Amino acid sequence: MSAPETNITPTAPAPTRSTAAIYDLGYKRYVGNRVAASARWRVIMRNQLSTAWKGWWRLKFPLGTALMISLVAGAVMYVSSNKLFNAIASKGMGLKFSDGIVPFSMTFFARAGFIFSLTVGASVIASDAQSGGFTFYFARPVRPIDYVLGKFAGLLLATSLIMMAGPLFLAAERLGLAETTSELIDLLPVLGKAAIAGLAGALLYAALPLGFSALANKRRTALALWAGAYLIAGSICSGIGLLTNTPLGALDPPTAITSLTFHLFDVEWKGRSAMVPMPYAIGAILMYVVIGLGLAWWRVNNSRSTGVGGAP
Amino acid sequence: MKPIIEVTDCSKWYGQVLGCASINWKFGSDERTRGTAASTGNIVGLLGPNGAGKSTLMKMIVGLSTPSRGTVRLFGEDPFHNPAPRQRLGYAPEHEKTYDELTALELVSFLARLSGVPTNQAIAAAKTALDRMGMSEHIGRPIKGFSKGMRQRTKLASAIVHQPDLLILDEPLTGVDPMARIDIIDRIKRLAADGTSVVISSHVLYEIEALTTDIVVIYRGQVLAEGNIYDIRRLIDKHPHRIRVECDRPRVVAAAAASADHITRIAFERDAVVLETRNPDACYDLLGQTIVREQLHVTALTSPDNNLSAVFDYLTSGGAA
Repeated sequence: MSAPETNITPTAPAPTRSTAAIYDLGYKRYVGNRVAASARWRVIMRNQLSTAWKGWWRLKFPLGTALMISLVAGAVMYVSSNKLFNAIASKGMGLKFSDGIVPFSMTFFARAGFIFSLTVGASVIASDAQSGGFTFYFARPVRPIDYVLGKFAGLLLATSLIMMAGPLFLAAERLGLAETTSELIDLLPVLGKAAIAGLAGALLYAALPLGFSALANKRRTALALWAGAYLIAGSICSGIGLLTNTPLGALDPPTAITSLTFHLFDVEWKGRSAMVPMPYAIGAILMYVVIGLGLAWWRVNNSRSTGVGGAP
Repeated sequence: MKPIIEVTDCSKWYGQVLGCASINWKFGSDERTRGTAASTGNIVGLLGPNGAGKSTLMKMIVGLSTPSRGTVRLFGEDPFHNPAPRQRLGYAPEHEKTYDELTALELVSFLARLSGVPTNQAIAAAKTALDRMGMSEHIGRPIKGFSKGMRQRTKLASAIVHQPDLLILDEPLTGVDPMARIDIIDRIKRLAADGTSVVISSHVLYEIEALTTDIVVIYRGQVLAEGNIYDIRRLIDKHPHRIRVECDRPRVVAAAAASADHITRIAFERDAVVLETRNPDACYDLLGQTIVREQLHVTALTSPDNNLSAVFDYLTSGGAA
């Protein structure tokens, strides 16, 4: 015979099952529809955008920089549409100065894209690895492909705002400055060219930093790697390409983007012999996009295999 | 009936470090968790010292890690390679780091959407979950300004926001102040009583003791014991069982006990006597007879060994039978 438990262990609780009736708060299983697992990447994309929008230095600062570039370039374009200005400025140029504003502005938009890569892009995966953020994703019905796709899409949208909206605005302004209908029709392709150049830049500045963010477990390390590669390795490639007159400069991301843009707009920039032929520029951009996404996929998939979760 | 969790001969090692070794464990019934108003959840405590392998086991169960050997089944499916069973799971990891720049509402609604709750319902679900965790007044505040207790509550809210069948809570009370601890324990109990199955880990014994009597003791990567705390205690027959009798004449109790062969030790305390016995049932019989016969005025009858702490000490010190 056992003694009654309540007398033996006054501090021990009774088994929880016997107290179920006390707490009937009407908690019910979720029986509503669930969003298909294949759409989870969109949730991650939206979260990437909303977190980037928080604070002044992540997306708003580079976006403000892009806006300033657009406004300044737009003002210059407006002033340069003056005929007297054109007569002076077109010497040594392959096209009308105002037509050149759109491609030339891409050099500056690339800088804004680089700033965004430093404030957000190059630390995305490393930040999640450092903070244990993977846990929140992969303890839920999220696959590695959803994660990579969502992060990339979020970055691409944000980078597009920086690198695509400005050139499109300038292209539209250029169309608005057309003096005749025939000139307007002739200038219409400028919109498409600006969109292509902006999209190429957005792809490159979204994918490659994302890949670098996958190379480290700490945010600062990932940022340092990306900044080092972009500023030092890129400059070395560009310099060697300039000295040897080879397309090695295509490995420098801004050179690849500006080269592609200049070729699209038929700009002959005599002062920039490091400009690489169009196929090399396209090849380098595609290669970097593939490398960036590949690194991100490799890291996330590898982390899943070896076990994720838990802050260090 | 299909168990909710089924771990079969599961081992996990990180290089040369062994996380878990040949663990076999089943928990819950999938059929029961699908019940409606009448269903009741249950709580099981994963107990073990730091580094025992609790978190490793939990990570394998929730699909964050794959076993080096053996299999893990969650709702009958492999949680690592198949995201579907994770839809019915709520997991609160040990660390409290999150997206600190988000508000509690933003974070919890984001995690609700990640779990498949449609966007137009996610905000309402997040508000409900935060309210259930006592966070309704702080939903609009950024998490970076939260105290540790508030972070834990937010984490728990994010684990329950999609109303899962199974909750896995890894050290959910770490760093929480005593008042918040009591409150969170109460809320976890309510969730369980409302039909959610809960697996909770801790190395703090009284936390588990306040929640459940069903435990799994993990020690050095292996399951050392599992089941009801009192049943486990009864199995530990190598160790004498202590019974403390607080009464007006403790010496009378001691004299009656001295002649019994199952009594191994008698010690006196202020207004009390502590008996150590190898046969608790016989000892309780003896005590009952003595109290009635001698008309003793007993003010307390307790068993210091029948709590979780004592059981855990016995088990991990190699004293288990």
